[in-house]
Amino acid sequence: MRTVLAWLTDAALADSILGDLEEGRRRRGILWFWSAVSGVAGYAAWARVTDLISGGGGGMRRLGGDARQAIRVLRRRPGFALSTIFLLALGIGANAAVFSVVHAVLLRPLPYAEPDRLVFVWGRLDTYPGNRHSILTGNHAAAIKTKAATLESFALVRSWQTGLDTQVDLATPDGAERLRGAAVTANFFDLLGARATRGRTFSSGDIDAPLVVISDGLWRRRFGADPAIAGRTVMLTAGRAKRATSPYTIVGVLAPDFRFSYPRDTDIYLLLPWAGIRANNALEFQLVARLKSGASVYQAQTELRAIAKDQVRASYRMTGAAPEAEVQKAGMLVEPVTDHLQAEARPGVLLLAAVAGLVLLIACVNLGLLLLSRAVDRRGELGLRAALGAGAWRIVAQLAIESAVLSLAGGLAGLATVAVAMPAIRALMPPIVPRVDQIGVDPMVLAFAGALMLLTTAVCGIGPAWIVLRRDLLDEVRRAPASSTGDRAILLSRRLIVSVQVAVVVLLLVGASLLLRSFWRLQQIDLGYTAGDVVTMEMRLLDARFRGPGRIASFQDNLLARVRAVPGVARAGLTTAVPMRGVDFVYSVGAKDGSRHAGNMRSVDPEYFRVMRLSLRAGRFLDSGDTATSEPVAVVSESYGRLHFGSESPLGRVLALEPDARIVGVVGDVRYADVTRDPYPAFYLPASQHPVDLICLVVEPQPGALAAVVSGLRAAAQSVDPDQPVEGLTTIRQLVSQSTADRRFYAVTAGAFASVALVLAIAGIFGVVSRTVSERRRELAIRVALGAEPRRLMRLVYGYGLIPAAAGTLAGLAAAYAGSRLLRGFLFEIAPTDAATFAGAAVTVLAVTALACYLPARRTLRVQPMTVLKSD
Amino acid sequence: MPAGPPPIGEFEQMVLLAVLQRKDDAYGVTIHEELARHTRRPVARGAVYMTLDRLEKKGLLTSTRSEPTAERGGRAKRCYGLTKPAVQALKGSRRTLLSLWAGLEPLLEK
Repeated sequence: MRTVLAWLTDAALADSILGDLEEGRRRRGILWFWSAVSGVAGYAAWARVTDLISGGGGGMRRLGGDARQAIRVLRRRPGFALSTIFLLALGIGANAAVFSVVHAVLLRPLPYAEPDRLVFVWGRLDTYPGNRHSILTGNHAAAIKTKAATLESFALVRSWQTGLDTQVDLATPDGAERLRGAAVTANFFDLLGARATRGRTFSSGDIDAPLVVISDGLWRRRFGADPAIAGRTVMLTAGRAKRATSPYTIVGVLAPDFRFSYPRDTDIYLLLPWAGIRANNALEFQLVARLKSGASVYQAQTELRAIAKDQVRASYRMTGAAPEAEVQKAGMLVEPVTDHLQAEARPGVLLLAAVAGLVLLIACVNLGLLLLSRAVDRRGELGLRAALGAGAWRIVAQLAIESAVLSLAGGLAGLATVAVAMPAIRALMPPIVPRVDQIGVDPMVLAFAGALMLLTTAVCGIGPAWIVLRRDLLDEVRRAPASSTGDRAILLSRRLIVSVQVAVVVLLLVGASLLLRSFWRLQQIDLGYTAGDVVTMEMRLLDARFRGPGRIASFQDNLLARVRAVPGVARAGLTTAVPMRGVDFVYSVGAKDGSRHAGNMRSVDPEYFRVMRLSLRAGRFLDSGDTATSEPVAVVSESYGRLHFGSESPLGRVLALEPDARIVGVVGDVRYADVTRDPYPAFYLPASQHPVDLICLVVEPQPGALAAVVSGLRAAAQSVDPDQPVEGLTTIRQLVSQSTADRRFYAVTAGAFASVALVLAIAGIFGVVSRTVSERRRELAIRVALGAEPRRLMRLVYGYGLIPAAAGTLAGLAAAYAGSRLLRGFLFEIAPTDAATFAGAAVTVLAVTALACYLPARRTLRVQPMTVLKSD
Repeated sequence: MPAGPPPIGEFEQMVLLAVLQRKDDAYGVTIHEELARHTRRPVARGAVYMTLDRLEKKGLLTSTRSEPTAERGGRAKRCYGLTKPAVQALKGSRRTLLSLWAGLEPLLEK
């Protein structure tokens, strides 16, 4: 609200007004407050519009005069003015809102210097099909350093997203916090053009020292925005094999707009010494490079591919020629940083923009109808002005200013609504959309809305102006306005407008129903486990104190005992993977016949199956009898059993693990990685026999005890080991819901926009048919007088709406069919040309059109021929 | 034309008088109360704020900002006072009205 008021007045005045109203709120309550705020905002908006109009002198004065005249004219017809302003507010508001998203997510340059020249280079390892973004090895980096001529410079990164050694623990008063860290070479920040707001970033003089640069967020969250942070020493625990706690010096704080990872920011940057990057395949990195000025992505791609192939040939130098297949497979992938960050969100955001654009089109079309009717009504008045000496262009200017005033008022109302709704818009964005925090009403959005206002002024001014210029207005004065039975051109253009409107609505309805039906199917899918209120929490035991036989197992036992004692806990189990979240180990396991098959390996305790409600298909679940000393056993998923043993029962068969494990049970498949993808084969081993340092708790609360369990869980974990960070406290329900949040978002917004469009179209068609009936009442009266049957008359009136609507429906279906492949990526288990959906949309629109024609048609039955004919 | 005080409208005049009435305590809330009390009809808050802003821009009002308080949601109070031209303008309009009213009272009491 402050933004709106500050925009309408100025920031200081807005503050003092809100302060005044706040005083009143304490006495009179929140309802009073909001009505007072909207009253003041409304008044300020009105004052601003009139200021704009009356401001300026000279040539502006006549404009001001015209505008005041326009306001007077519009105030005489408040119903007309309000409905046009509402339509414009809807169209411009929806588009400004969507544009604010498009601008923040896709158009605004990334927070780097010359972001167009920044690229990621990925090592393309064809051993993992589908994984385009495999990271580079030290070998690649060494070859690029000596040979690549298209790259100006490059930096290497080992981030928390790809490695455990950069997950850094910071001791805090509320227990240890695991920070998202990245080890970067000293030139990383210079390469990206990042600057520090406190202290400095890394420089080429930093060779190998315990130095860190922190994000603005971490500086505020953990260091209370300490102005003297640069130079301060903190104790951090980092590393993997030699994980240790040691002092690090904070050299600087990054600017708040700097981000390197989305949606979750990197908290802390450690120094990655160049000396540590040897030409070997054991270390893996992300590589970010700046293209030489003038070099294209394609040139870099060609060059790096050749370098990778040379590398393969060189590696076979000692043994002879490299196998052609190996050389063929070798390559590197160059991807612009901008593309990488936007790839996932782009199609969805563009879909939104298209849908909003169609809604604006419908709003404009409706507006055109309103203005056309009004221009027809005003032919007499305009003719009179022409008779009094106003030139055609003078009258056109007057009409254009009227529509400008309407556009301005509508646009301002739309923008104010968007500004108020901004927090809700940000909250609605699904997690795959990056840079959500930057969505807002900024100068670009204002400029865009301004352009839309100009566009609607032009579009809406055209109709009336066309009528003015097309015919001699003086004729209009000579003709009695009431005798107008509608001229052919106007009738035709009305029909055309109805057709366009119906076509757009059909297109929107088809799209929205496809998205909604997909989302519905997604909700109906059997995940293979419960998507209920199971609480989950994650701990990665990286510290050296957990190494050594039996240490992880005893931590697990302690943890489970404490968690089960938390009030409200019904059951608690352990696993190494929870659904819809990053880590899920993939192991390739041999069968006795020598074949190998990859599957997800999950180390779980017996309660896991019951908490997650996996279904038992054969044999038994793991149970408390499966201990570290008993016979090694495994449970396999149905699909994993089929992979290894075909149609034979896997029970009693052996998986070639260390040591071999006998299969004691078969469970149903689970959709763990992605709701939309087929389940991946999996096998389950007892945690007691295969302790893993990644521990995910799954806890089923007693009915009504969810909140108590959520709040008690962290404390229980910290009572076992206060130095062990706890992450990802959430519920399975939330994880599953977030994983489909993008689809829900697109389905719901498209559905909402389509409903709005449908309502607007009904109003438009109703208006056209009523108008046509009242203009042709003389003709209808004559027909009645000549003995026309009422039924025939009704049919005639239905024809006014249904004939153009049928044409529009056909056009809309054709457009939906042509555009269907654009939607394919958003759909799940439904064809983009689904016949039932197309038919449903057509029937809905035609039924609604018939409904809109009903009232006007009824009116024709009550036509009294004598009254009508006498009145003319 | 000699540079006199800028012309003021009826509502502007009322707002200036309300500011004078509240002396050291003239800010949005009290000015609005004062106007509502004297006119005995509802006064639009927005109109009061926009008029105060306009009068300040015309150089008829000055404003000072107080320290923010918790009672006001941490926002500062803007207190208004009249400038010399405002006092002149008020005097001028009072003079005009009084001379126009001269001798008319008995006529209206009928």
